[in-house]
Formats: sequence, C-alpha cells, structure tokens
Amino acid sequence: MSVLETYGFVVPGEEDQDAVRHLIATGESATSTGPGSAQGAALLLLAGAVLLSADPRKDEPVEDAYVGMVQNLACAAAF
Amino acid sequence: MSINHETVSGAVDSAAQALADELVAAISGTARSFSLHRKVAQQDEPVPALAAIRVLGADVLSAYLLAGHAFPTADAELVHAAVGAFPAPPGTAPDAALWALRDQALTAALAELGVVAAGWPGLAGTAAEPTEAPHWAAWSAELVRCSSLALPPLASPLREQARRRRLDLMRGVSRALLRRDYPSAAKLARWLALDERQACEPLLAPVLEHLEFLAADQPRTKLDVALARRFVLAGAES
Repeated sequence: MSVLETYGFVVPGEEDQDAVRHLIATGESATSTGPGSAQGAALLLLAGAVLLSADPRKDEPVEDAYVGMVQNLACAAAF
Repeated sequence: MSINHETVSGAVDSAAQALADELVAAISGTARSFSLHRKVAQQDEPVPALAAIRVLGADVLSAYLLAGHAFPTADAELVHAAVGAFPAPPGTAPDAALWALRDQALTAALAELGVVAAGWPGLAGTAAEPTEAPHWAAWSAELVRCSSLALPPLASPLREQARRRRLDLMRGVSRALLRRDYPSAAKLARWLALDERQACEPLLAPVLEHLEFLAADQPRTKLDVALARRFVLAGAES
C-alpha cells in the first residue's frame, strides 16, 4: 500500500483544521516584555530615574555616565 | 487574516515543533538521513503529523533542497496527502491570499525536486500580486507570515521587495528583538540572509548568534535560524 493510499483518507477534525489555519496565520507576537513594549518602557523610565538621581560625576555629561548606560537606555527607548 | 498570538496549544503545534526539530538536525548535518514518511510512520496519530507538514509548508522540503537529502516518492506522496487532508480555505476567506502564496511556494519547491503538484486537490488557487505595505513595520509583519517563501530556489515579489528594502528589513529584525518576539526576529533574519551575498548585512551574524542562544527551546525558531545560516553559507561558497 502506497503512502498516499495509507494517509489519503485521513479526515481531520474541525479543531485540527482550525489549528492549522491559526498557526499559518500567526504573525508577530501580540505581547512584548522587551524595552520597546509598554511594560519595558515603564521599566526604562524607572531605571533612567534611578540612574539620574544617583548624581553622575562632576563635569561628566549625563549621557556618558555609568559607562554609557544612559545612552543605551535612551536608544532602546527610541525604538 | 492576521492573528497575533504566540501559538495555539495542542497536538498540531507540538507536531509542527517536533518536525521542525527534525529538520534542524537534517539541515545542520547532525542527522545522517532524513525521511518525512518514516518520521510520520513513527507517530501514533497521523492527523497532527500531516497537519505539521501543512503548517511548515515549503519548509518541509528544505532538507532535500538545501542539504542534499534524497527525496523519495513516498515523501512526495505524504506531502500530497497532507495537502488533501488540510485543503486551502476558499478564495473568499480572509486568509486565502496568504495560503495562495504559501501553496505557490510549495508547488515551486516540489517542482525543483521534480514533482509536478499542479492539480493536487487542496492546493490554493493562484495568488494575486500582494500589495506592498509602505510602512516598514506593517511590511515586515507581512514577511513574518510569509517566511516559508524565503527559500533560495524560489522567486517571488516578496523576495524582490526584501532585496530592495534592506533597511526596513533590519528595522523589523531590531523591533522584533527589542520586543523579545524571537520567532518573528528569526523569520525576518531568514529573509535578510536569503540574498545576503548581494546585499551584505553586518548585523546579521550577531543577530543569528543572539537568536540561537535565546531560542534554544523553540524548534520552529531554531529552524528559521538554521535556514538563515544555511543561506549565508551557500552564498559564501558560491
């Protein structure tokens, strides 16, 4: 018996058909916990506030402080 | 149709992930041989196994197209059975255009392997020319859904667009990585890798390394990364 004869009469249930259509239509994730997300943005603001309130060294531009971490956070927030 | 969810639970998703894992091994060269019908014969339930073939689309043929595995008639028959068991939705359905593009890719990939699939029951009708979204975010989201078209032997309008809009593609990859949406990032990185030889992207290598590390437990994402690696390697060798 050929493979087509073996599997040619398989009748999937409606649930399986729906699952296939759903998986095929799935696009990008609706949720995000990254820095670009709403949750991530809140964390970024918090982290930024903590860093700024920690008072960078005298005469040092704030964006260069803490090994450029503020710059990195700003770039991440921009995305 | 556009659905924004990670995955659906259940046997179909598990079967698709398991098949993707097998394909990763076959493409990466860690598996000596690969045979679709033998894998399916090992399953207790044929329905999820056939569904997995339909979900992965032309990607199920990647081991034969890219890694030199022999494509037996039985495997072609299995793809035929999967198409028949899970037919494309009617042309009026909201996801009909997406299915048409995917089935066009499947038919072209089968033709590359010497199989004429035209007329198989269950295949979607001819696809209309897809509308190109002007904004990079909407456009890259469309490429995510059509990632199975990103295979070296296949030509498509989307591939032309991906070749032309490299910056938009890289923006899409960056956005997906920042959102920690690794499946989407891997699919877009795959598009980026497809014609990398013609338009070199220096950020591609670190993106792939990043994804390999972060998506080690996601077989379908690993498959996209393995394919991207394969495209880059093939481009460097040619």
